[in-house]
Amino acid sequence: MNARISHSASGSLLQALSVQCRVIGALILRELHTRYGRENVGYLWLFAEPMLLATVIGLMHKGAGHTAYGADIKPLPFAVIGYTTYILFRGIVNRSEGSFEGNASLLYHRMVTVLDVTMARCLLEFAACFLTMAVMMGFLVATGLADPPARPLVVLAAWGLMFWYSTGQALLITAISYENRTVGRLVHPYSYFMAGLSGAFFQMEWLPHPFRDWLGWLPITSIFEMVRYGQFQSAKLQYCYTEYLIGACLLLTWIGMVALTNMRNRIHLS
Amino acid sequence: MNVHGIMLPASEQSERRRANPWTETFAWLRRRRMFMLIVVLPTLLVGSYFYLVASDQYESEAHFLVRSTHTAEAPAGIGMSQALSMVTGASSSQSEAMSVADYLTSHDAVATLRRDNDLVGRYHDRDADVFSRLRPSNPTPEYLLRYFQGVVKVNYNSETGITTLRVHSFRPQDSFAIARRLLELGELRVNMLNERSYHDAIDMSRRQLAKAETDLAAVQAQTTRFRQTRGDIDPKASGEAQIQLVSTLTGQLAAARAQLNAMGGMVNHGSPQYQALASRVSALQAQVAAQSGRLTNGNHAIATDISGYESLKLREQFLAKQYESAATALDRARETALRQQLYVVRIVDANLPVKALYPERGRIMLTMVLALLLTYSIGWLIVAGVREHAA
Repeated sequence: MNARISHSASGSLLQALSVQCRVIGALILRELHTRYGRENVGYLWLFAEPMLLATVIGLMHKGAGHTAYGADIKPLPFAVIGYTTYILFRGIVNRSEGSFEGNASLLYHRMVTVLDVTMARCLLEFAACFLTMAVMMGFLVATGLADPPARPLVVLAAWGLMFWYSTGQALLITAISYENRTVGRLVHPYSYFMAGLSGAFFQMEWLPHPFRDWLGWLPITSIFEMVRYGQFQSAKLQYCYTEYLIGACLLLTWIGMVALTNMRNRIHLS
Repeated sequence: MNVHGIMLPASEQSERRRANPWTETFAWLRRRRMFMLIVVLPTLLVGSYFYLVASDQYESEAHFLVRSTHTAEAPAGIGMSQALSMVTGASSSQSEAMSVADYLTSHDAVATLRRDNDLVGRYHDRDADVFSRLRPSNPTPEYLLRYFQGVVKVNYNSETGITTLRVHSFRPQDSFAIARRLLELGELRVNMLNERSYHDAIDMSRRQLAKAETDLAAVQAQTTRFRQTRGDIDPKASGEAQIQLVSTLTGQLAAARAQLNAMGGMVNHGSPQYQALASRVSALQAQVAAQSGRLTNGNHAIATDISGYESLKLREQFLAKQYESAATALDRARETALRQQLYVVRIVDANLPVKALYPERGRIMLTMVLALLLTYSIGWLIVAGVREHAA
């Protein structure tokens, strides 16, 4: 620990930030060990698990004998990109529930805060899912089953927004499920319902009139529209409400952080 | 654990109090400097722009439908069951409506407006504020197109099939004129598309009909030439007449022969009656031989005439049939082409705006203030979290 006392506020802030980065890095490593064991092959599970699922889903769509949905929207890459993006949401939201059982003892250290624990989990999840997506799409592109992404930057932006949206919810869920077990039980059903409602496997323009407008109020549908817009040349951004999505992310983050701050004051390490 | 916001440097707190309001204010501002920087300053800047600088914009709106007479069904949404299993694509009526919307926001339409409606002059306006007006007086087509797409919005609603056209400008008359002109341009474009598709559909049938006509005329000319060279209007009819003649003559010959045989038993062969009858029989015989020869033998025989004439007739009949079918095909093509004509149906005509509804100052400011406040509080929470790691 660098014990150099700095008089300027920004200096100490930067110092604190570097400490926090180290803390989060250490927490990520710890998370890896506790989750996948200490054998080397354990790290493979990081993306072998979602990849198996994505492969099965992709094959199901392939086997259903679909033709293309549009000019260049083939069903296999459509399913794969939808599913891998959904995995990111599901992983972050599901793991945020009761994320304290395994890590509560760490809070004895003054350096480790609740936010660090949550962020470490979210970041690890993001890395794993992004790796999965990149590997799977790379495989599809290499074998000619999919075209390379038409607008790679848009795909990255959509993933960044998905990370933000999910993390905002993760903060809130972490805070609530610590004290309220009932809510914690509802997290898994919620994330599975979202598999159907989020637009991971359908485009908004396929929906009939009233349902499309209703689902448009779910910010997550905009994210999936954006991912597809990034991946496929002929996809449209017509039903992607970016401003609404960013507003929802801001609000969720704020609520989540406030809830986390309130909860931290009530933590008692028995 | 105590969470400070922005901590005051210790040196400032130990300073002796001076009851100077300026210093007080300055100190207070300094304590709140991040809030001022992130929330108050942008709000003031944007607010002063919108309320003091930004010029009013008037919106003119028009709705129209693009429909063809043959598609009566409205474009419907696609059900969930289909969504999971079916191919989707724009129906033809949708693509027709979209084509008009697409044209209205294209460089083509912009170039037309620039040429005929002084588009640049209307938006390159000295009275409008510098941020929202068209700055260069002679913009490149690309820049003008981008600007144009900012002030003219064309929205196609796939449920109702109605296209909504919205035009913003700095004067009511400008919005009105441009919206009306765009509607006209859309109609012109549709008419042009109609004409083209009509001609494409009809031209093929027309060509076939013309070909059948010339072929028929050629065969008829051949027939005429044939008649002139052969000196026979209808070899078939003259052949029949010839057969008739031969059979009559043969009948007469047989009767004369019978008469002669009957007479030969009773009267002397040298008698004048018998002689007359015999010469009649031989004359009839010669006549029958000659007429039968005309039917089949020689160069000018009717039989050869008939075969040539028959083949001509056959071709003529065949071509006549072809001509008939080509004529009906042309009629049918014309009918279908007419039925597939598109119309621009003006549902709501462009209006002359009275009150400037844009820019929506209150709404923009409210959104902005809320977003900034959220950003600031999130930032504050994050910084507070980071500070806890300070040694």
